[in-house]
Amino acid sequence: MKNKTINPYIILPFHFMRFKKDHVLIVNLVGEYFYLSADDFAKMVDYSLNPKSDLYFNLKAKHFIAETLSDPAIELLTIKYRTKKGFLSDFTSLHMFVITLRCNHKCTYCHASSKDTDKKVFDMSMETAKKAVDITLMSPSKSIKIEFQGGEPLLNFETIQYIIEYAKSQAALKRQKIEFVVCTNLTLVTDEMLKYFADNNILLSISLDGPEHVHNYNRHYRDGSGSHEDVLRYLDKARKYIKPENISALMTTTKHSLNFSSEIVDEYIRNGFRSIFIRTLNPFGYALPKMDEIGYSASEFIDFYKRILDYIIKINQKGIYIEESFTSLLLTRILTPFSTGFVDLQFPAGISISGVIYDYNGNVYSSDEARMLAQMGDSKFCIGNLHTNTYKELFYNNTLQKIIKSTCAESLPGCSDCAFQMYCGVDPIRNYVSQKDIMGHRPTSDFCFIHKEVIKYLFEIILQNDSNQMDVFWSWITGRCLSEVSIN
Amino acid sequence: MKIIEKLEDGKLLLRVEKSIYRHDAILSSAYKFTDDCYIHVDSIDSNYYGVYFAPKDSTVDLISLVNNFCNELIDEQIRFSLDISNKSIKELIIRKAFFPFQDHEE
Ligand code: SF4
Repeated sequence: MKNKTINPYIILPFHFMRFKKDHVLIVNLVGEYFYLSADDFAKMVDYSLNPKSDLYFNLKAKHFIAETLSDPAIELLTIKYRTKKGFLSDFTSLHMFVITLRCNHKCTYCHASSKDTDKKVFDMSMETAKKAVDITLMSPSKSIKIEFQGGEPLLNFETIQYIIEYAKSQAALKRQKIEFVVCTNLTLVTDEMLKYFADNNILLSISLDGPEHVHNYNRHYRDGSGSHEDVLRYLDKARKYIKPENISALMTTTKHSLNFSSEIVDEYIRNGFRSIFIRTLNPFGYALPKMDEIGYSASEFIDFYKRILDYIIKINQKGIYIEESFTSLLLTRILTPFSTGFVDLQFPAGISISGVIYDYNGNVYSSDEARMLAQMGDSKFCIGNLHTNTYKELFYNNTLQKIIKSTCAESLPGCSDCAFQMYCGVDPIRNYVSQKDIMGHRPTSDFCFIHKEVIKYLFEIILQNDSNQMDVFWSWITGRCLSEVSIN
Repeated sequence: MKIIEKLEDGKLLLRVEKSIYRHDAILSSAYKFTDDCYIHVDSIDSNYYGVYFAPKDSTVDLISLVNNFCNELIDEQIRFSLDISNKSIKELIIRKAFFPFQDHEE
């Protein structure tokens, strides 16, 4: 490279990767990308670009080069960077309440955690619930989301109601915006509950793993019988009370799901959903004893993801709106300047910054995986208990700060120079569980492999710049159906 | 002197010129291959680092891996050179982003 003092332009910070044959993808500090030939890349980093060339102007416009330090581009980049990292000031927005460990299901992937329906000792008490709400509302975030999880939360509906009433009244005093999500299998819902949810604008997140044979393979009652038929029956009932946009569903992928990508999507469409969230199986913890039966490799998942995404895109092109939620999140990061905190995928790690989980007994964990780990006997990531610790002790403790510090992308080998850093994230507890080290080892990490391959695949599509596909992506980002975003 | 040398114990030795490549660039490149290989980095003499590759199993094609390593090393060296030249700009952007008024007050 040429001598710094005589460089004709300034190269602004970016990361790069060789992408396809003889091409390089470059991504700057705020996630803006540019795709250029290897020759042009060599010229760029060697400060040999022709200042009159289109390439020079394009790189300048995209904030990869600047002419002077007072160039307005640098100011603009600063503002964009602040916007992108805006989620950091939203400390802590997602609060998950484990209302009970009791469940009327015993699904293949959470076998070990669900307790019998009569074991009320595994319910969150009103006293614990009140403490959890008090701590929740101490968060500086102006916009709080409380998510009820289980077991099956509806088994402890009284406590849910108490939390909603109490949190609403307290949030109003503090001028905090608050919303509630109930994560439920839906099979215990009553008209009275649905009316309450509708009256209070509560969101429902249900589990639907696909058509009957897929869903029932993964998700069943404690006696072993599948719950698919009941889920759909209760879903019909729920739709009579609750606005369509307030009911979403997510699916967990097991080995059995891999061959049924299109059938899974069709099932979602048939049942009126506008989004589907394709989740990988958490290969540790609850599912561990059954991995031979339900597990799969990271590359098998990627094949599945590509098939399902292609199918979803085609469906959208036929005029039916359905988005894949994880893809949507990544596309927002790649194609827009907006900030998207997502507890499972951000730098620094979302643990406690974006999300925190209160167990039924008052124990507080920085993520669900931390809670799972504690159930297996390792309480390393339990950050305290609602009954014995203050807000400050829970959220500003040294252990947590140390973990968060060590999860800035810059300090993680592999991530520190990865071109996808701005779109990706880290999960230190998953690293600890799967690789025995919170920093993790990227070359052997399934988490890294999956995210890298997913983002690469999205870039393959984006770089083709086929308006039929890009219109679908933009429709997901804006949440509008294709006919509204298409310029054709 | 060969750049790549097959050693008797099945390892491959790659000689990397110190005047061209930084030690950090070699380590960053090596990190990316630690899935397939055990890698050891050493200073052979005043002119060369030695990078020793031992395959973790028999399916690893060591020659092509070392060739890929050489390409990766070039990229890592570019990254380090760029990092050095734009470190202060990066710091300026981050500082201004999080403390927008500080520079005006100074
Ligand atoms: S986890 Fe992998 S894909 Fe994500 S930023 Fe780190 S190295 Fe890149």
